[in-house]
Amino acid sequence: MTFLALAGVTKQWAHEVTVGPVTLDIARGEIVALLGPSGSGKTTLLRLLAGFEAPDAGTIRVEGEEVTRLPPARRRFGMVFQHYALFPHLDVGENVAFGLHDLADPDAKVRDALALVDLAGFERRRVQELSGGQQQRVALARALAPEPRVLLLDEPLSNLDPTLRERTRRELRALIKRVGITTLFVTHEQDEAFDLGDRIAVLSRGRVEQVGTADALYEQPATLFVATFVGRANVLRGAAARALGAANGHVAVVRPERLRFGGRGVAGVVKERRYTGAAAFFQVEAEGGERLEVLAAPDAARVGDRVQLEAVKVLTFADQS
Amino acid sequence: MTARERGRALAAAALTLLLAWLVLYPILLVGVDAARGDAIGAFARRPGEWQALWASVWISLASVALAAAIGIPLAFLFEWLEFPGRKTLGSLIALPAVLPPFVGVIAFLFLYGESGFVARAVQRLLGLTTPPWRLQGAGAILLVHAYSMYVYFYLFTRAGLAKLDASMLEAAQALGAGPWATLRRVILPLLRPSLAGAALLVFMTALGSFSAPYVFGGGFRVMTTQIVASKLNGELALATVETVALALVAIVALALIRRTEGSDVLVALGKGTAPRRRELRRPATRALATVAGWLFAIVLLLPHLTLILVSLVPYGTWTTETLPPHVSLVNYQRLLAEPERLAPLLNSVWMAAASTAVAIAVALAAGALVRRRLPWPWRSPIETLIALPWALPGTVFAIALAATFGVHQPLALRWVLVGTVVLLPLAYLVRNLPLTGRAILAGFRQIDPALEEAAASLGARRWATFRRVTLPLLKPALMAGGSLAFVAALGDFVTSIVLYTYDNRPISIEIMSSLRVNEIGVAAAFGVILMLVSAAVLGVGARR
Repeated sequence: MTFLALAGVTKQWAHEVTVGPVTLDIARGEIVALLGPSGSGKTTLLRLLAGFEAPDAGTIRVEGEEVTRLPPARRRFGMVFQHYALFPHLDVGENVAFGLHDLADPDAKVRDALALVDLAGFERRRVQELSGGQQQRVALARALAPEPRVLLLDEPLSNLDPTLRERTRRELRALIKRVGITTLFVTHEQDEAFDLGDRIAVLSRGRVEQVGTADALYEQPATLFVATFVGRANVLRGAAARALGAANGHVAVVRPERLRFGGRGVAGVVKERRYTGAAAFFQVEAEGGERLEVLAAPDAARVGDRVQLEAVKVLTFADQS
Repeated sequence: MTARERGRALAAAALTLLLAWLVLYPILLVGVDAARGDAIGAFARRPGEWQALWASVWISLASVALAAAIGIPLAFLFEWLEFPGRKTLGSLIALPAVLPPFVGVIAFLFLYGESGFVARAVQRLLGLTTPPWRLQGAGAILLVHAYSMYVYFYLFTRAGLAKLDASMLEAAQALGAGPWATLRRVILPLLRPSLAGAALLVFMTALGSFSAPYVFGGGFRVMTTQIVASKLNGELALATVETVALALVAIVALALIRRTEGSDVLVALGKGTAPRRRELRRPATRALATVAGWLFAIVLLLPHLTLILVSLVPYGTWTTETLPPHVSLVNYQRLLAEPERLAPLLNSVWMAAASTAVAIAVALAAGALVRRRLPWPWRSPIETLIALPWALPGTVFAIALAATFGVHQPLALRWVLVGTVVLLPLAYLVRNLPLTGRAILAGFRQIDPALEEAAASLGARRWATFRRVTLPLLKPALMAGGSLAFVAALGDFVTSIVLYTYDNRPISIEIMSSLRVNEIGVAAAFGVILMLVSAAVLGVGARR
């Protein structure tokens, strides 16, 4: 059952830069990642949802109610900004209470919201004296306090220490699921999209290339872009592609772990070995000059070995280039 | 175009037209008047005019040199060396800033003038029958300028030095550069934008300076005093030509100095920490630095003390003695008790407050509009018009407004305002625009747009967002710009002397009339009040 529906949403910036048309159906309580490289239009899409930009065409509906032209203030979408946008002239409690302006007594709600993000008792702290992780949680509490219909997160983890990210990711997902709010978030990192999202929409040049679960994107990428942007991939054209079973004029894509050293297949020489502990990445130069990356057991081959590579699973796409 | 965008464009057009009418139109009218009449010929034929123009230029250049010679070494001293009393002295160094120009000038008159304290002391000491000197001419003007303008060089250089990256200096030393080579090849080039900024500010201030040449000039005329003299003689046509000449000099100077400014990129490149202060260790050097510092502080403070002392002298009680024999608060009592004397005080306060309030409102409107991604045709005209009055001396605007609003032509948007109480606050407003505008536009630029978007996504409408987020964040900028504007209008003399009427005579004009009838105590008392109010307002404005 669709809760949030985007239908043909389009926004034209300059003559050549267009986002959309984007059509996307999101269920109640679902977490959807907007994944794409910079300039792919994912942030524009988030801002269209928040109401900071108005689309040139298309509609956005929540529970059947059209909100396309509704100003942000009346949309009841909560947003967590990339740099959190905490009001520096207000303390933590006042920040969280900002969206509860109409309430006679917002204190109880502020307390609940702060408890939800594990910051009980932080009401009178200044936002400047909080750590990055705490600021992020205040921003989240502030966005959730007015009980919005949809939660939007712009690169929610990009401002955190790398060591903190993984843990925060899990905590954030648990929290959103506990609240049960329908959520969209923007990211350019695959790990983040995989960990946090129920489904992932991959964007490229303003268009949605594919929407699906992490498994589906990895195993059945719909386009060459998705195949190469999500996960590592060897892209082969011409003779090497044909050797792996691709038809004429098609591109073959093989993941490193789907290549195996064996007695048949593409011949080449191991040029480089990068050890990662449980396994190793091997760079193999094929006879045609192509470079292939293979993930295998650390002792599977040595630099300088002449090897043959066979593919366990090959994805093929019509060559657009 | 959506309805909101149309509304924004309409508001921007209205604001641009209002600013153009207020700022640009009078200047253009003066230019047309000057070009049409035959006063140009008279101007070109009189050698006095050319002498005055040249005097304005060289006095301004000399003021830059003097202010730099005092301000730059002081900045290095205070930024790089540690010695006893550095902090206290550092806060005293901005003292000249709380003296409005005209008040500073009369303080100098009481202190170093032919019947001032210093001259009397020297006369008594040497047993002379006549005062040892007369404080007059170019030297006197330069003395006042150096005292009041070195602060710009001092502050700009210190700010520049604070931005320097210590590792850059260490790199220079590691590459074999000695202290002098480091100064010449690394530090000064990096300070260039700061120094050019200070030079520009001093040159413009000196070019527009009126109080010092008016009081000390004697026969020595600069352009500002020449203009006012022509105006008071009723030669308005000649005054407009002189005004245009002065404005042209200002614009050419602005363009020339801007070109030497260089790019700020150089400084922004290094993001390291400033060099640490070096402690002076040798006792003799420490003592020398301390004594020199305190002597300097006393020199800085003397005009203020003089003003206070003179304000305590009852009328006619101080004749030939070195120090006044009687002191009392009678001048202040008279000032507050006599409605005739209280009026200028109230006039100045209401005109300064009104002009500052409107200047803040205009700057807020401009900031809000410029920020909202206006279509390009509006953006830069608004910013330029707000900054324009800064580039032209106050006398230029006074004459321009007098000429524009001296005739009744409603179709040309001209009404007779000369002789009404409105014209002077209007002139203050024009002069205040760059002060509030600069601070508030910069304040707007510092606000992260995401903060306003956050407010919107939390349910705040536009007005609520402005009231609850934008305005509180702008408060420091509002206070800073507003206090500067209020103090400038409160102490104004240049525009006042051209545009005042009896009903709105401000403090500076009253000080002048008191001096004319030799009531120096009353004049000084007005000066003290002006000084204290200025200091208090600036102090409040600088608080974060």
